[in-house]
Amino acid sequence: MSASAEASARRIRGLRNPWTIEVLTEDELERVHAATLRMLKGTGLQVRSEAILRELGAAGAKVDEAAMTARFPSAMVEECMALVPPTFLMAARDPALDLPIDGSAGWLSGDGTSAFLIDRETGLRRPSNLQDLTETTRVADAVDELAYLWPTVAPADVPTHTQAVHITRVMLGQSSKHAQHNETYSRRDARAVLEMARVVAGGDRELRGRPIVSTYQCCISPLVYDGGPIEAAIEFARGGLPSGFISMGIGCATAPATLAGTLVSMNAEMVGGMTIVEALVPGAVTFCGPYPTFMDLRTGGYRQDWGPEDTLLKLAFTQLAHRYRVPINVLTLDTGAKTQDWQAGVQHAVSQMAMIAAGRAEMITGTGTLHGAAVYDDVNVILDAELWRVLCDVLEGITVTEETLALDAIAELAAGADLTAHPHTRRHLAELWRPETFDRLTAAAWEEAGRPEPRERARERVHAILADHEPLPLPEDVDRELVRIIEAREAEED
Amino acid sequence: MPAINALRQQVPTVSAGARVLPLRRGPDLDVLPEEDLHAIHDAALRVLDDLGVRVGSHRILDRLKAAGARVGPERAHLPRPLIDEALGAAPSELVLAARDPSADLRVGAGDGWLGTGGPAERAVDLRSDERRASTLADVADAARLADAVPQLGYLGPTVRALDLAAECRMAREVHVRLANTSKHVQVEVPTHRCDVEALLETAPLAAGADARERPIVSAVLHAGEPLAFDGERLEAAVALAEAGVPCGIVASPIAGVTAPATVAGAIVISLAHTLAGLVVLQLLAPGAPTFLGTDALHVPVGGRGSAPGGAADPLFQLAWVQVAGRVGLPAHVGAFATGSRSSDWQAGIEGGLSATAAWMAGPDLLAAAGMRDGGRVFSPVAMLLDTELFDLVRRIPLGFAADDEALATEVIEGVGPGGHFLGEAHTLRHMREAWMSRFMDTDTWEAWEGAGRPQPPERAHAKALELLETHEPLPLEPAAEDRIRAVIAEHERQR
Repeated sequence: MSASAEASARRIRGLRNPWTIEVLTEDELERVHAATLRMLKGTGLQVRSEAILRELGAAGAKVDEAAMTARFPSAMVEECMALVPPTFLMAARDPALDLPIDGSAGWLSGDGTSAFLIDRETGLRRPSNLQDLTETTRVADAVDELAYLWPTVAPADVPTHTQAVHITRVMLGQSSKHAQHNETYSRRDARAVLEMARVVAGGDRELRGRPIVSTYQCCISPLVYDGGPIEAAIEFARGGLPSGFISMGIGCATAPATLAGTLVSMNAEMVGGMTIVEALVPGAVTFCGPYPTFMDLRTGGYRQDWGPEDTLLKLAFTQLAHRYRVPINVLTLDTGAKTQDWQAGVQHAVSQMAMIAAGRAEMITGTGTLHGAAVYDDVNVILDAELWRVLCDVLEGITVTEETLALDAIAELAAGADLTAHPHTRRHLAELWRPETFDRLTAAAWEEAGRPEPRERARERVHAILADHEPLPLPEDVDRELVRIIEAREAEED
Repeated sequence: MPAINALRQQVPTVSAGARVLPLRRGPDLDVLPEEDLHAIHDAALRVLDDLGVRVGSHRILDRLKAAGARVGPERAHLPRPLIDEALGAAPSELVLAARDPSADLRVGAGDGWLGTGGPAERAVDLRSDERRASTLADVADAARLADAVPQLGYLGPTVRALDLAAECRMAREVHVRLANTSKHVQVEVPTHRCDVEALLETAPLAAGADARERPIVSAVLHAGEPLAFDGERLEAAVALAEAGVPCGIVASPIAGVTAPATVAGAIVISLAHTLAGLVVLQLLAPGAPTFLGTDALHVPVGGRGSAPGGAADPLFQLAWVQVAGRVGLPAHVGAFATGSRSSDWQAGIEGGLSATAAWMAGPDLLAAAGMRDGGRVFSPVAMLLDTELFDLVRRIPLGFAADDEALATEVIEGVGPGGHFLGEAHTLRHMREAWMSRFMDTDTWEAWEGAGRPQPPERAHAKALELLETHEPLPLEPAAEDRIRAVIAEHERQR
């Protein structure tokens, strides 16, 4: 573990990056890059903000005001991409939970922002509210493997235009972890969120030095940035917060049906976003986030973290980010499953193992949802934490020393003994595995208990956390100030 | 390590409608650096020389002594030259033939093949979902399902027919397996000499050829006690190997019980054990086709005994492929192992970890589809789900096309900002390339609830029933069938 990863080791465990499996050849990597440049130069992006288009025109892009498009000369793209800081800090209210984004480790985030959640009492799906946002954020704060927050669920019981600020108060108040905010849709949202983050950080300079909030905006695939989100992205970058760009291209629908085509299309969107932010705010912290899915043309549904294509794209996008030396946020742990069943297990394990294979990804999204992030369930957080511990252990690799080769213990075996009580076993057995939610019952006890599944044990843990866990509180005056900002935003009409 | 797509041009494509589908060798991830690999190999050789192995056969001990082993009562110490000689004699590749020659498997040549696991003594009843003692009918059903599913390269031992008396079990099981699949059949090495004879007589009848020419049956010698070989079973393995039946040696370590509680130590003892078996086989049957195997690494868990465990099992699997590769023998691994008793989240997680280890490492033989509860139970539903997972990871080492057609630059330009690809000819040309799941769910929430909240095991269950109803395996030649029945009858009369 590197020194910087060690700094966060007090509570949070990151994925080391000892391995790298690449999928694209050098030649293919350059062909994808060349196709991306061609796309941004010839077709460009539609940017639905007159203000941003004006600024981009001044910065060297070719702007068509009527079509609201910006075309980017290749030299401009290359120069802007070279300005992206390769490392940054995702600071936390509790500095022991700071996360270095520097390639030394991959960090697991929460997931969201679902409009529904599984009710803890009934087990049924229902629309989410502010109380749910509060409780699920507290659970996220309590689980050590979850390194930084996302807005978990949408608070549907507050006015839509105030959701961004309500979410900010909950993320900063119910947890001392870093908050990645992805629910800001306008310059006004961004200004209010920045103001709240400054209040909690202790001022503008303090926030710039220790950004306790990061943000990202989503492209509308193919090749469109809506006005409010792109204006928010620039506002955040100017305020000193990391401001990344996510593409959620859907193969066959909003991206080509081929993997290479999806790669080009989504890469153009993310590189385009990062180019916009660097052209307007040179040196701003930004990152890319490929969240590809495919459309199932038989049902019209999405196939998320689905199969082999998903692993191959994760490897390819991580390789591209590495080529550009930009930080990457990769979507994993998505599933089409509606409950924590075999399918969810398979998709979670295969998608997380893809990140082990890819190495080098810093932000790994995210635990907490079912059904393509449409439904939140804290049970996932507990179960994925168990998976995360296994993955971290896998990346520790195999220690080979005289002690672990264990020739003394093997001599006992050769003499006909069993090792159950052997000192070597006592020294090392606990290192091998300590499952929390996996089945530990005898066959008879399992049948008698009605064949319980891991999710039932995880549900008990959620209840225990909600009963016991107290997040590090915000000072009262700070929280009062957050409430005042929310009230001011409520008074606005938009 | 080459990029996955760099390997793309080197692999032959599998023809549509193939009876058996391989996992192509992938990037060959090295989990152990060379010096650690060397240390493990060296430690195994020290174990064989210093500690030796128990061998319960005087005949074999005498042969080992004559070849240069230091032999004491029931124990042989094997010096390094003996190991090197065995490794030199063993072929690095073998063919596991099948009644249907289009299902022949080349092993050790770059393709990994999935087999069913076992033998278990409990089966999940497809009709009642009850876990019960397994029967000859279960043996037949497992064989027919494996025959129907192209992701299964061969039929492993699955379950024992506990409804038959022990002395006539083996021969009848083999008959039922051969009759219900035209794929390769792998069995346990039997304990009794007469079972060996029955096997050696029936397999060539079904194959229509000598075992050396068309080995449609192979055997695995499961290590029982650590560093010890039961004499009768080892003699049986030798007899099979002498007759040309491929015979692999498979270690079954339980960390902290029958193996050290470290992954490195578990590899050392597994390597020592399997190399000792290899020495015996190659000494008595030089050049006999074989492979070096392990089951999943088990760990003691709570009050329930052992189960395949956490990170230890995928690491063990990755390392084992490397270790076997270093000594130049095909690697057999225990894949998809899970401690879960059903096909739930835990089984999905453990299967997913193991399946990923498989595509990263590239084992030659992957046992065992269909097992739950750490190998104690066989489930037809689990078997189908495991083949689904195999099918998923199978595509990963194949990479993807990145030529001009695939990059689709002009298509994206044509669609432009805010458009969509649903109506593009390019989409029509390529939309069928995506992997399709047979059992996973992409329904809307409402459709899922309307259908009674089905999970993948339920879809697999329906598929299993359908296949058992409809799939007709290639029958044995009537003359061969008659002669096999006669062999079995004679065999049972003699006992």
